[in-house]
Amino acid sequence: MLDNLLFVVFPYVAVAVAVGGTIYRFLTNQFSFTSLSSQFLESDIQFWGSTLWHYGIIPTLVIHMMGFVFPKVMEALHGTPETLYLAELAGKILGIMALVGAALLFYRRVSQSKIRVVTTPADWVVMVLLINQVVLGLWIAFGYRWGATWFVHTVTPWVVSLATFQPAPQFVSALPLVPKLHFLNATLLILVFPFTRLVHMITLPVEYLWRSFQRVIWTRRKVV
Amino acid sequence: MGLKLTDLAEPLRGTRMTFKDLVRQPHRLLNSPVWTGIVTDGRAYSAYCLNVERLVPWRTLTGRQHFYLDHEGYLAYGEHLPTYKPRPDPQEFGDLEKSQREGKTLQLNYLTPHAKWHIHSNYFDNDRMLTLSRGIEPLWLSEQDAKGLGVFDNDWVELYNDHGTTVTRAIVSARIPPGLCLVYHAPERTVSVPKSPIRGNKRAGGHNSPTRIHLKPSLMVGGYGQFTYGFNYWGPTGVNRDTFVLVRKLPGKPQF
Amino acid sequence: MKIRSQVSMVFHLDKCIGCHTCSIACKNIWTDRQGAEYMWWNNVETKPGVGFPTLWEDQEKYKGGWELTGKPKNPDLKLKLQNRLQTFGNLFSNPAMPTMDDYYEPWTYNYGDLFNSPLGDDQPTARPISRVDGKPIEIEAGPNWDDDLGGSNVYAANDPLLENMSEEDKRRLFSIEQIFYFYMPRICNHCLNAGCVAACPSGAIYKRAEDGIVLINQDKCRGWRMCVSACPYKKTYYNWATGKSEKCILCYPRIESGQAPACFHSCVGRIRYLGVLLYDADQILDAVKVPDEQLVQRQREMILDPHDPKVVAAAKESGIPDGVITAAQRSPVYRYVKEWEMALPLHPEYRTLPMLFYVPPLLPVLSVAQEGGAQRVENDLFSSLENARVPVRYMSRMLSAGNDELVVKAYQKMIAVRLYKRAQEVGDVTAAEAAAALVKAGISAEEAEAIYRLTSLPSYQERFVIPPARREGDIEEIYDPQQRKAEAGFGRSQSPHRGL
Repeated sequence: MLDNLLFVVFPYVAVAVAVGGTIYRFLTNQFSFTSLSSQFLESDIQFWGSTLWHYGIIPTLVIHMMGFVFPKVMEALHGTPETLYLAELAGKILGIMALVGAALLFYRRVSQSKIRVVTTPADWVVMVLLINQVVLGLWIAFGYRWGATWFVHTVTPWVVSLATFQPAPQFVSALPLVPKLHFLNATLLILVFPFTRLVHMITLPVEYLWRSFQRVIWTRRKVV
Repeated sequence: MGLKLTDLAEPLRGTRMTFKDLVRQPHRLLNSPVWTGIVTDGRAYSAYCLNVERLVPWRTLTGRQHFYLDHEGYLAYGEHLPTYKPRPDPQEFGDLEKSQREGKTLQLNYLTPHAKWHIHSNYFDNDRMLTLSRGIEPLWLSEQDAKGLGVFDNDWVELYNDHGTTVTRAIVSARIPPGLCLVYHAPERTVSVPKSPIRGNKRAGGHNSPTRIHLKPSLMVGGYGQFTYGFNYWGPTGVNRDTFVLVRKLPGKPQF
Repeated sequence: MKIRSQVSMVFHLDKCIGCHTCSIACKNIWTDRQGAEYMWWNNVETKPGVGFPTLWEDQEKYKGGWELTGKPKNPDLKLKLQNRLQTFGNLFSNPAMPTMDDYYEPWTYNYGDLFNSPLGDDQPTARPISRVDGKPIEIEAGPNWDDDLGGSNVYAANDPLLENMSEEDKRRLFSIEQIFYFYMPRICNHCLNAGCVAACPSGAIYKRAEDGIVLINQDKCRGWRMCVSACPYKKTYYNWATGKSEKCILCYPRIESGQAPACFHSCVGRIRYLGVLLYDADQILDAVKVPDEQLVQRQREMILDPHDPKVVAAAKESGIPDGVITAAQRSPVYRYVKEWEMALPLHPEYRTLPMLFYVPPLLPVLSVAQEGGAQRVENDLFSSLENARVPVRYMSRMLSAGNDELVVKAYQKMIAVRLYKRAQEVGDVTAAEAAAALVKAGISAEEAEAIYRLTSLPSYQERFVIPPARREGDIEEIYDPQQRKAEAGFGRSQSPHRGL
């Protein structure tokens, strides 16, 4: 019962809120979609914090996604001890980068009075959830030997089952507490996504790779 | 009959102003016979329009602009033309009889002229205009004098004479000749005024504290053409704004 | 030929008195808000000086504008800041991002203390406090910190434009008898090849085709801050409260309703001119790929003669309405920039094709103080340029990418006009001298008269020839704008608060 609630109902609710909420926010309040950068007010800690954080967390996120979409690749990667070792090492390094970055950003937000002025309660929620998530992830990586190999056999089928509307919580319900908390915290992050600064993730400006440098726009093509 | 000037007021007869209008922003309305611009229909103020366009005589003996003053008092003092006169001996001012030098101190000529963009506290004494200067009305010092005092740009300085004391920041500039310092007048004594160590840590004075009225004989001429004697403030010279002070770097941090 | 119209500007520096009325007009209307309080879309700088933000002309520090790479024969144009891929690498922390320290920490005063201080021996005083976190601050920088050569040994002496000047020349410039300074008001140049537009990853910055005004779409800006670095003039600003960038909008709501922008309207010295220039948009890229000393000439070539029937026909073809073409024909900017070649772009070597032009200030030395009184330098009143206080070299580094000749030509015209009028009005210059000066400057008496009239006696309608936008119908029935002051500043109907 509890498993159904936590690993079926809760993810569906979270994703529904995230998708619906983000679309609604984009349509009604596009102005609020911004990185909310505070580099202008403090640049030195920001450089190390933000760079380490983003360079650590984005590849980590991408690798997680790969695990859901191309489980075969992931499996092959974990097939031999050497590649498994390398994959885990890379994951740990990225995780530690993200954690150090997040810690620096946390310290910056606490210690700099100017940064506190531009910090909202939602920012604290996001920061605590993200640090939680990274700590839990690293706990799995360091605390559970070869934890990465479980991924394709537990998390991937669970996520796929949710995505194909044939929910199968049994894939994860037998796991230890820490991975479970990691999943729940991730779901929580999805839930709060549309209410926080996290929405800046979907505004990644890929179009910049090919668009022309100058932009000229007619506000009214035909003048009466 | 004289000149008929009532038409200058005609376009304004229907104008009404409420208290709310005044709260929102200043309003300029009337053509004043005291000032000399014509501001009808929002025209920008420009001096002497009234005299040139409406043939109102200048308020002088001749009704024209004139530089030469043929009053015998002026002639006797050699003040009949606006020409260069050397500065009097600092001792003659009698403003530094009691004041003692404290440490590294310089005696400088102290001027408090009109600034480029404000007259008295008008337009200047607000956070916006203070932002466009240095947040304070600073003491302008020459590079040479600043060096002599061990003062760097934006350091706090204290200046004083027998009459009063001022504490402000220094602004060091190559455009100030050595031997002279100036504070543009006139900031109110409300913003960023530290205490003065030389006066037993009482609040320092305003920029006008070290100045006083110097009664110049030619200013006592009155009842002749455009001359009307007034005790303090009329006349072509700036004697009130010209004195001597001792300047030093403020010891320690400013106390508020 | 793809013809577009650009609302362009001329600032006549000879007439600027440095009163900052323009800055105040702009600040009161547009940037009197949290997060924008440090912005001065219009500011006035004392030159020599470091300007605002500090040392903005030092592109090694700020990485603004464009540079040419590759072979000189077939060069590539590249943003000095970064290429497209680097942009993504630098999204999280922009290494060339100016911070508040490069501008100043905005402040106000604790005025409440004047009323609420406890009874004491001393009159209370209002101390400066930060407008960011409200704490007491030591004021150590401001938007006009080196005004009138204040702190000249720290600031003016480090003006990047004096870089190659000898110590002896510098010493001379800062000695009391030979000192010079002038004021330079700056707003956004509404460039044709704007660095901010090119650097914006989100594509939020654009040029309006109708009038060439460069704007930031506040809804599309995602706060990546690249425009702040890429604008070599530092005229895009990051609003730290809303997390969006903002810049001068050339008061487009005013222009659309036929009024001059607030800074133009309020200019006490009447130094500002505004009018349409027609230009060939197809030439933009070629015009910025030439060597430094040819940049101004190439930019002038791009600007087309609105009286030429061929240009008029092509303009109509390109969709430019008749009213705008008529405005271009009456444009005072066209006369200064193209006809008389007296107005020059600010730092053309940044290769953004700025559309704000400056007439350089002429500060002739009439006489020098000597033992026993003043001594005339030369017999002719506005003597030779070698005696000008502002070195030609200084002006050419600022306005013509080092091409002295262009500055000298502009100066010769100004001198000729003065001599011509002096001969007419005062009579201490002979008609022959005046005529010789006109020949030297290459202008006719009629042109001299026209330059004189547009410089000294222009009416509001002559200074500001605003093209009809016919957008009156688009403008909603509005509230009292004063009531919305300090709220949005952009005519936004939603309050622009940070995040959700």
